Amino acid sequence: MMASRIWRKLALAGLLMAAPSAWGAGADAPSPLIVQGEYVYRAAGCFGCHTDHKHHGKPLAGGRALATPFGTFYTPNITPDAQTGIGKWSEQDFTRALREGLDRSGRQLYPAFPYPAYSKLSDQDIHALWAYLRSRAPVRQANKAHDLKWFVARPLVRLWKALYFTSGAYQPDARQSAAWNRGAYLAQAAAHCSECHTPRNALGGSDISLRYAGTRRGPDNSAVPNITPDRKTGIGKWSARDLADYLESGMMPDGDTAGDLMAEVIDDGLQYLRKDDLAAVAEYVTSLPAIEHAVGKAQKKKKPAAKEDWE
Amino acid sequence: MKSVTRRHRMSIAAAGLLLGTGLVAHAAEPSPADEIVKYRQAVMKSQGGHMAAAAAIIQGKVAFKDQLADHVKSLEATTRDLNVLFPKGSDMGDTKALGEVWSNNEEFQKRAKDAQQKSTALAKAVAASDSQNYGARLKDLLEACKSCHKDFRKKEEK
Repeated sequence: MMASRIWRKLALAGLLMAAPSAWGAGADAPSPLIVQGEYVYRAAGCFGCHTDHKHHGKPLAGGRALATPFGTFYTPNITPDAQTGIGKWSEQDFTRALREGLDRSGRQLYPAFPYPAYSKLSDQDIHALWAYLRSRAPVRQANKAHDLKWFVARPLVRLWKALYFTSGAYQPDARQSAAWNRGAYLAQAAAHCSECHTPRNALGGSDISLRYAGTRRGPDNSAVPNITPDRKTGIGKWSARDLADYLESGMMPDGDTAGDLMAEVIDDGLQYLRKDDLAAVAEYVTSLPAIEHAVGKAQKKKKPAAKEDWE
Repeated sequence: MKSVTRRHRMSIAAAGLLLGTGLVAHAAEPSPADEIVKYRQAVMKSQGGHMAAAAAIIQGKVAFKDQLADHVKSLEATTRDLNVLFPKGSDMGDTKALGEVWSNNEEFQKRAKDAQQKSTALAKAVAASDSQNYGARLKDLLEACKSCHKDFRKKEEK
């Protein structure tokens, strides 16, 4: 009895020693593709939406509530679980979701998932992101059904796309520097800043005349700031360096810290980006046309009602 | 005529009574809670000022190295007991504090203590001229500020 127990312990020890990744010995270091994929994942902020932080949910297992004027969306499980996640998806399925806004059975995806931005990712970045997501821990957690207003239905998304969506990877602007284009790519395709920082009309389409100029009715009914370089209503007093530092640390030029949603974006994503990439994003954002658009505090009267929607 | 005079006298008396008791509508005096809200907002603003100033020195944006100690000392002093600035009853009015400060006060106090410890660590580093670690200690303190703002401050843009 004693002897077999000792043998079992030795066998276990042997197994553990043969699996250096468990001990961080580096022999199982992630491939360059997965490292790149993780970088895209950080820039794109997948973790933030696809994890139910409020209820201490497992990473990428979905379930986070997103309150919008169309009702409440619950993010899906994007772990490689075969039953409840995207374990059965092929890379083509994944690419189609990001590029075209369609799920693997061809159903329309609601643009609460910001595929209008992700569509601009390069083939290589989508390929790398796929590799990274496949390497994550599968979690068995069924998706929660969206709680949407009566008039919202997937076939309507086709109309929405005809009006507001053009698929396709980012095309560099030849008049601009490589750094500017890198910043524009990261901001538009991955970090999808304009998805939150732009007001939407009644149909949920972005008002491109006010792109990046902030909105009183953003995610979870928050007021989202104007990030164009307008000195009165935007971030015109910020230097590019101020902005790059902010995106890395969350500290604003007046010493205050980013609010809860941006703190998440930074803590879970942007702080992992390279300094030159953050500088590129800052160069792009501070080069935007200044738009005077004052975003006041979110109407306090509406807030309690909105809470009932998703609580 | 007689009744009008009496009514007139009575209304004067009534007015006098009202004025005397201060019930006549005039600009409302701020309550002690209002004053605490304004005070702590002033304190928080000062912390932002000292953070930005300390960061500018540490990042080499300005050369006022001899002023760094004053900034970090102020941060240490004003984060000594943040919990005191949030007494019960100061959750109303023009405050950005979320109800969670009080409903989850245990966690709030933890965050406040964390900010105090991080500011002390920064002040110690500066006192010891341990300049290699200024950046890291500042970042630690910033993280403490950010973490509390994330969960205990209303989401409103500046």
